[in-house]
Amino acid sequence: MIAGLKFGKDIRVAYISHLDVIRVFERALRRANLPLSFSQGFSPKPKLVFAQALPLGITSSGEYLDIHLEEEIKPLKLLLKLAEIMPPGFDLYEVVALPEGIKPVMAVITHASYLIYTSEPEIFLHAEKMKSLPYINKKGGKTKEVDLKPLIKSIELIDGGVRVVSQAGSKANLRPDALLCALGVKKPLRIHREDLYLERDGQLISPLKRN
Amino acid sequence: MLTYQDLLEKHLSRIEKPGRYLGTELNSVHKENPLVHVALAFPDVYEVGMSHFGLKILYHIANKHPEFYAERVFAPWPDMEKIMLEEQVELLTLESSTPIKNLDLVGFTLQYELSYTNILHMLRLAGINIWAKNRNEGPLIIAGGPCAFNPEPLAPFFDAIVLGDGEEVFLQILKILAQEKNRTKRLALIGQLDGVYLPDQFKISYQADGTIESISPERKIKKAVVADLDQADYPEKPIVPFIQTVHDRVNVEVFRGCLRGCRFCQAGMIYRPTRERTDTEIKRLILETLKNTGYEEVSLTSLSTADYTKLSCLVPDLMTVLEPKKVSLSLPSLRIDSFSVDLAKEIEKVKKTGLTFAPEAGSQRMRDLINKNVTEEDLLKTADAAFANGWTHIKLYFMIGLPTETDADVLAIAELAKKVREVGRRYTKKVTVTVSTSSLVPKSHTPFQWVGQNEREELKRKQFLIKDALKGPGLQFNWHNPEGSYLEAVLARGDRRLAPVLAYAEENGAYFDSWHEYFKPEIWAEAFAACNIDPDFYALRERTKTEILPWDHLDSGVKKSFLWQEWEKALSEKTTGDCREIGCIGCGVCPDLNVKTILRGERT
Ligand code: SF4
Repeated sequence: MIAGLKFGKDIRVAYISHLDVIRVFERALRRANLPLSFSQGFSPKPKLVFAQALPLGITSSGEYLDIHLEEEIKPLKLLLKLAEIMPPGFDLYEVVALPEGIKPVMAVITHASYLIYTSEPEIFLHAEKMKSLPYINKKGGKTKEVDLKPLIKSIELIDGGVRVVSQAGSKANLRPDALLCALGVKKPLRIHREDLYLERDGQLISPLKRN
Repeated sequence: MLTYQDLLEKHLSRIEKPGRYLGTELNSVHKENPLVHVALAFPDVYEVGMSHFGLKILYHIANKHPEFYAERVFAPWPDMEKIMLEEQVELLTLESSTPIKNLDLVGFTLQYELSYTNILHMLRLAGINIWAKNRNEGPLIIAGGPCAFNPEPLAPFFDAIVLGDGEEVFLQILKILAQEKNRTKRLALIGQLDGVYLPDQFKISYQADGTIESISPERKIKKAVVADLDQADYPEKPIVPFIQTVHDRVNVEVFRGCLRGCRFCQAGMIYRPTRERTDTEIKRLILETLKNTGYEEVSLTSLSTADYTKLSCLVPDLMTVLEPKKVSLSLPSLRIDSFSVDLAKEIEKVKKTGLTFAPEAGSQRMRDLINKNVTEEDLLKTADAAFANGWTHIKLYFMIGLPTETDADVLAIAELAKKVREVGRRYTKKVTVTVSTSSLVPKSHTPFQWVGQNEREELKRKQFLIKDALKGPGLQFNWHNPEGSYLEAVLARGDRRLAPVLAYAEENGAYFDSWHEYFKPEIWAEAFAACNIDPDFYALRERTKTEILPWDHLDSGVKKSFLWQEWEKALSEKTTGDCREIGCIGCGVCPDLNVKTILRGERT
């Protein structure tokens, strides 16, 4: 069975990198003594698929993880077990049972929403009206100008900042730091990833609802 | 007041590994208003300090008592250190971001000489005066660990130093801190404990030629010793770091103390006698720790794990429980015999990483001199067994700069490596033999405590000899810089006159000396010159039998006369057996400390 988990990271673990988060889950699941599926090879590892790496320093309430298990286990039971053994700072929201053979969560994500707490919300709102938002992308010594505008789906005002809904995932992805850099704004007070989504029939739905 | 969390939030982009400063790892301990609040300080970066098992033991011992709170503190990496200086944040504990100068006690571990300036730097970052005599308030600054057996270069910086096994002494110290609040009285009480050395109580005088005239009073400080490891406290819920550390796994010490008697090895002398844990206790500790941590690797540690008397039943027994859990087992040190290859085979059923052996010297003459009871035939047979079982890569560790070593002895290292390669070629074409050398650093409390280190140029020349002789397919040579070994040799057998040198070097930027990218020999050269100290006096000089050594009042239990006898035997190239096999050879530790060797099975 595949268990789809939705979890969050609060400020206490916002400075733990993606690789470290993987290790935290691997070890937590080992402690929980669950019937994990392991990869083949010299050093077998529990089969875990994460939706998308969260950049360092960002908190989140919308992270997803597929846990591959050898035996069926009730989603609620798994959730309670995880709540018992995860270190503080990880919020655990929901577990659903997903059918074998379902597309891995990482392959289905299309959008993300970020809450950016900033003293300059007007700059973000203005950006929504612009035709293009050029950004110089530096990668491995090469620089390339890209337009971030098509990656932005919407920007709206919230209390203390803005909500940016953007494309995310393997096909097209907006990194929050790229957006901040392109807008030339001050370092925001905090960035929070509100959720990840997949688009179906023009609607953004939860990755746990995929089938 | 800023916390580590605040610093991370404010300066995230400038900090290479924020995970070093979180303090909220699994099984970390958080307490409010403890009666006694101390810090366990490791004078190196987080990843190194968190790999050190002693720290985890002491953390557990303190924190299991509700009224005691021990937090960790590490040397902030230069990126964080710079930020702390800019923000005027004094050195903080990891868990609660409490300034360490507000605590009852800070205990440093002395693991290697090249971490000494980090201790001074950490004190300075904490706003604590480095000189013990200038402190009449603030935490007591104490130390322990292997280098505590000759802590003399650091003596003026510490209020107290613990010699030997720390488990029991540390708890007694905490109890004293709970009962007595006056700093001076606390120190006096701590000074009465077994194994505790108060440097200030001893006065050293020197002769015109620079050697020691007297150490007074004439009393000796005996090391503390845990009689039975099964009774010792063991951290079954160790902290699991978020970031990858050097050794990130379950460690169970299968025994403490080695009796093989290698003459260069300080650990083999100061941790005597051997005290084994029972195999049932080892297994219980492993399973319990796995349950509490979720680790994927278990290591059986000790100075020579293959010597554990019940290893041949323990390993298969452990494998049957670990394999289904997909947990791997590792043995850090292999003996040069086919038994060790069998063990390696047992634990590496699929993956064949390189096998490492330490013949330590190339010629039989040198191996006899250091008392490494291994012959060329032993090594070649062991290599044969390894290649026959599918290994293709063998790593060999050697030492250069041994007493009376000739070029022929040095070249024998290369010849031995080639012979191992030839053995391998009988089985496979893709053999690799890697040779690593280190320079002998003569240490206190060993039979080599009287010998002079080779000059750096000489050590370099010897490495070139090996390098030239090791050309050819399948042979690799790992080079090392003797500059660091030289400084180690100065400090390892130094006395109190080196304290101002350490202070000078630290003030002028020596920090993280054990990291080659930060090690600056020129600062040290300047420091020695400024303090009018000749470092060669400490590193290169051969001592006489009658010389008073700076650590003569610090007693590991092994008699100085035994060490001298071993040194003389070394010079006549005679070996000494292992008292576990041939009976007591009179090193002195058992009667002196009223302990005995504890074995749980038969020697194989
Ligand atoms: S006193 Fe004797 S038995 Fe004890 S460690 Fe020394 S040599 Fe071995």
